[in-house]
Parts: sequence; structure tokens; C-alpha cells
Amino acid sequence: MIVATTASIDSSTSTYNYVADAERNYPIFVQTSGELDSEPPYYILDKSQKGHLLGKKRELVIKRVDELGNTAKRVIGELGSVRFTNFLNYRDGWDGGTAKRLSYVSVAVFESFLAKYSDFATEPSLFLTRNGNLKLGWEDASGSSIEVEFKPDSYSYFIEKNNEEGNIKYSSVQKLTQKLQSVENVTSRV
Amino acid sequence: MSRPECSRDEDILRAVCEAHWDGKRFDTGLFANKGVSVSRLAIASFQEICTIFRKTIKAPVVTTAEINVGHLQDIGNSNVPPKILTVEEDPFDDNPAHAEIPQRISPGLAKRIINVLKLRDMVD
Repeated sequence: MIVATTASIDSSTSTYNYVADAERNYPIFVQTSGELDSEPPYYILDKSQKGHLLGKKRELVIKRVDELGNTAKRVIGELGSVRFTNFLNYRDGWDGGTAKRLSYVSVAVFESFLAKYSDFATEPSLFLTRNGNLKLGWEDASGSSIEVEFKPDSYSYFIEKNNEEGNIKYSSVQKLTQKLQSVENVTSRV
Repeated sequence: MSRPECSRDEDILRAVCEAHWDGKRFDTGLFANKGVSVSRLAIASFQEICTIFRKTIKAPVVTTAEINVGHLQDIGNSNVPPKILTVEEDPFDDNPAHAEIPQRISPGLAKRIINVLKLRDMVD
């Protein structure tokens, strides 16, 4: 049984709805409009790791979430890619406490974000939070820290220069990219 | 029931996992959280705590970070707005030196704490 939730991701050309597969307990992003994308962001794996078709009329682009797309690899570099692979092996309680294993939804959100914003002033570092989310950390042109955590339903950010932290929903991602652009003073793809 | 607070004179250690540090930068999440775990050097030696970290933490511990409790509290007090920080005794069976910082620490404050940490390599 597939249970739809309210979350969605909008790219410039397509809409993706996030659904939770109650039986498999996997996050799935289903493309519901627009041209099929051949590049990231989003999607699915099943137990066989082969990907599969969802829906009857549309052949979905199925991408393993345990492999990063080229944009993500370029942004985080070789070190970040190695760290991502390491994080995949973490299990619940990896910090000796209550830390969660890497969330595949967070991976999807991470790649979705990088499809919109990938021109960083410095090569970002990749972290894993104890909530199981990926997080990027880098510096703006003045050397102040910026962090963005990719949560299953939102982006959490910290901008040291403004001593500002906050949370922005998926649907308002452009607010975040504009905020980052204004701090970094660089041109992004949005 | 409230737990005893550690003295300002004490030094504490935080395990730095691979997830928190890539050799270039720290994640502010190392301290930006509520209920951050630390270990007390007044209760166990550095070497003993390293052994505990190895036994209890599944992820790779790449280094350790030391800070004095009083220094930690001074950083909190000088924050805008000031943040009262305490370190409370919280011994576990497998880590009698365990303690906790119960307050929520913001990323900005965490960054200031991280900037003064003394890194100490793990020992066998």
C-alpha cells in the first residue's frame, strides 16, 4: 500500500510528490508532471536495488538514492563522496546514543537542492547529523560559516555572518537560495 | 530529580566522530544540540575515556575535543543573549565519566565553543 503525504518538490520543469511506502518503509519520489529528468534529483530504490516502475502511464526516472548524482559529486568533491559512502554504512545509534542512520529522504532533498543551487564560494564539507540528515557546511567570501541541513520536509540553515538560523520548507526553497546568494554574493543557477 | 553539576574547574572531553569533522571543518552540530554528551577527565583518565569511546561509539571517532567547564560557561555567559550552560553528571554503566550539557546550544554559540576546543588525538 502506498500512502501519499502532502510534501512535494518542485523543480523548474517537473513536480515530484513524496509518498511513503508503508510496506517497504522507503521514501519514494514520484514524478507527476513535466518532462522526465535524466539527471538528479530524486528517487527510489527497492529491496532489489534495481529501481522499479511506479504508476501505469508514466515511466518514471528511477535513481538509486544510495548513489550521488554528478552534480552532488562535483560539489562535495572526492572527500565528500567518500564520506557519503561511509555514512551509508552507519546504523542507528552510530554515536553511541540515539543518532539515526542516514535518511534516504534527506539524500533526495540534498540532491534536489543542489539541482537548484550548486555554485558555492568554497567546496562544502559533508556532515551527517544525529537525526540522520545530510548537512553541508562552507564559508562565504568573508570567511563566515554557512550550514544547511537537509531534513525530510524542510531545510534548516545557519548563517554565521547574520547570526541567523532558521527552517525553510521545501516549497519555499527559493527563499533559501536567495538568502544564500545574498550572503555569498555569487551567481547561482536559480 | 536534578543531577549534580560538574565544577567549573573540571575538564571535559567530547568525542569527535567522522560525521562531525572532515579534517577541514567541524559541523556545529558537534555542540549545537540539546543534551550533548561529554566525558569527565576528573573521573577517568584520557586513555580510559578513549577506550570507552572505542567501545561505545560505533562510528569512527577521529579525534577528541577538550574544554574546561568554566571556559564553556564563560562563553555561554558572553553570548548575546547570554546562555547559562551547565554540565551535569550522568554516569552510565559503560561510561562512569559520562556527563551531559542539558541546554540547547544554538549553532552560533556552538561555533564559538568549537573555536576554542583543544583537540587531542585518540590513544590506544
